[in-house]
Amino acid sequence: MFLQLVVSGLAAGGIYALLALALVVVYKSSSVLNFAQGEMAMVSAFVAFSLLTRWHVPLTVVLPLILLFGAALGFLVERVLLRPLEAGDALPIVVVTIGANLVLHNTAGWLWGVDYKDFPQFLPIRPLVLSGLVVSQQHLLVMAIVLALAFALGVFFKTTRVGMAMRAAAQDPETARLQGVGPGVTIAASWAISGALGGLSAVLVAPIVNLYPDMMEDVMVFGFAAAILGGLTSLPGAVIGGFVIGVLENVAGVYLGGEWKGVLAFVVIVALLCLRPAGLLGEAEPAR
Amino acid sequence: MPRPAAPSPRTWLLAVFIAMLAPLLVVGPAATARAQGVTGDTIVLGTTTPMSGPASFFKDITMSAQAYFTYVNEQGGVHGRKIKLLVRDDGYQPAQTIGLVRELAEKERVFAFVAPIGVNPVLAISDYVTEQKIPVLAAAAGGSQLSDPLRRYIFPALLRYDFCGKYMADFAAQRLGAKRIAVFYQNDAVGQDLLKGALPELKKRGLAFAAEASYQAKETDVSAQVLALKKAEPEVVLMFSISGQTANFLKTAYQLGWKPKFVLAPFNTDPVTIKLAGSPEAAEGVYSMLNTPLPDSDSPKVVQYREIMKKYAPDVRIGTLSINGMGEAQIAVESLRRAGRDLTRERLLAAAETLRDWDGSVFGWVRFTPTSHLGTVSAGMAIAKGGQWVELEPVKIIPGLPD
Repeated sequence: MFLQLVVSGLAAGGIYALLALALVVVYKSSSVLNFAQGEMAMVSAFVAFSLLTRWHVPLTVVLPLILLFGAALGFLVERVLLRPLEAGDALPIVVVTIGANLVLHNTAGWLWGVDYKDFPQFLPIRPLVLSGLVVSQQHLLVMAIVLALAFALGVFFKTTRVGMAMRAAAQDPETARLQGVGPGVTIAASWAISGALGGLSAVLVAPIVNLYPDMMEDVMVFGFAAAILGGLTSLPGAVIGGFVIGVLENVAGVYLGGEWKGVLAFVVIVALLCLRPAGLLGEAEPAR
Repeated sequence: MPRPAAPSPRTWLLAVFIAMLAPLLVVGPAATARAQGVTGDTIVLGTTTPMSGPASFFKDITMSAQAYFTYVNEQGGVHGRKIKLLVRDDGYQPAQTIGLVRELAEKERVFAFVAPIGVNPVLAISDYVTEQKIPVLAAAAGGSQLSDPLRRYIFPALLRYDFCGKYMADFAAQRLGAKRIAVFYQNDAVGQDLLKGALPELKKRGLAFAAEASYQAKETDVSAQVLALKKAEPEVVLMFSISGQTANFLKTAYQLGWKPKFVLAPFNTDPVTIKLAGSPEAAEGVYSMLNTPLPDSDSPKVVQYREIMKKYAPDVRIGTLSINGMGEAQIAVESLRRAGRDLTRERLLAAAETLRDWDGSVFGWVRFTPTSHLGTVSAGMAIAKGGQWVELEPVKIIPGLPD
């Protein structure tokens, strides 16, 4: 019973980890917390829904299309809303991303309606059972993709030239510019990647949480928590953070009651941040 | 300067004549103010509904009520008067509702309100309509605070949530013979209301809930709650929850291979619940309460509902929301009819309170008397078979409800 709880928690945690990855990608390269991440993903899910059900586009075509759409959306948000604020304080940036959040949320409700929609299941609903432990195929797919993405992105940022350029531009824009790395390009690229990740998350998650404008709200809170828990600049941290929160949520839900699900996770996060402000795996701020 | 001439006798007569008429001019407007919103050929009614915002799926209720009024108008109206419905969008926010209701009452001068949507919006306007003595007919809300204690000017239409809880508990204990019953409930006033009705029903039989699990309105993952209830090994789980979370629970339970009997609250008796549960097997054999007959039923009242919808609101989905809306409009029209041609708010109030166990609406039976405005007092049960809701027990008056 406890093991099942852990397995189910990891399953839910995979979703938080996926969104946390997208948040960390943006933060690593532009030091911006994208409060619109959830809604960008949600809009991508609705677009995917229309492609799948209205125009009967096959899933294999829809997936790359949504990656492109997500990337375009991310790029647009950065270019149109954030670029003008580039040199400014953090506060206007936060306000703008929250504003984008609201606009996307209400536009989706207006265009597609607010009632629950049945997102097509692309995996059979019959779960996998391994030595008595049950996990749904969809959840397993999410976890697998999260781990693969974390690995791939890690490699990207550490070893490829583009990835290193992005990290450099984030850490020290002046020097990076001197080296010929324009921060503008790298920031735009990271938002595009994060948008694409958001789109992918949405398509993977919609069959689990159902499709409606609020679908990402609950999930995003834990996605943020996971990113912060892991240390905002750490990709593996985001993944670990997501899984930890998922399990804590379930432990609290079963042993303390449904009302405590969120509470336990946040108590743990606050306690951890008091002890270690950089999160689990984040880079500590260097003393100047 | 010459002195002005004294008024002639003719002028005096005219002045007296006008003085005698003056009181009539004052009384005249007051007399029509008693029947504000009523003219020789029109009755103006007002309603508030979430046309926009996260609760906007409720607007189907208003659309179908409007369709029914159009149908009635085409049959000649009520005592020769056509019904005109003014609709305002409150976004389901009580702070908005009160402002819009004042506007409808004072600026648009509506005669009465019909089918405003939601417990909190209706509670927000309760003091105002009581003070202004404006009847609110067939409110689309089921919270027990709306009729307990009695609010003279509020007539809620929906089967009260505490009665739903009582009915579901009784069904589980009596009909299904269960001794171990668990409950999954929404952690808010609606969930609390359902519990309030269920607990005494269980206690009466010497039972208590074997386990309880709650969720917050926006939660998407309920695996913890499923595991918590599964641990207690109940025979029946009462689902005091709404579509999305109900479906998630059913799906998760099915995937875990856990098959207790489920009894769902009436908000779930909609095809979407079965769809969202992921597969027909996940919902197979699940019971769900009916507060109206199923929208695809063959009973004459439901057939009429579908015909009216097809003719006057073809774009609105056939389902629980629109059938509810029509029931509310039917209650309003019957109340207006019974109030007679000489239409005033007091006569409407008195007429509405004669609908004791009236069965002319799709709701089955509704009960409004001078001492209690209960609303719907009947219910039935459906069961999911092969991915569809099928009627198991037809809608009947619930025994044991207050008079």
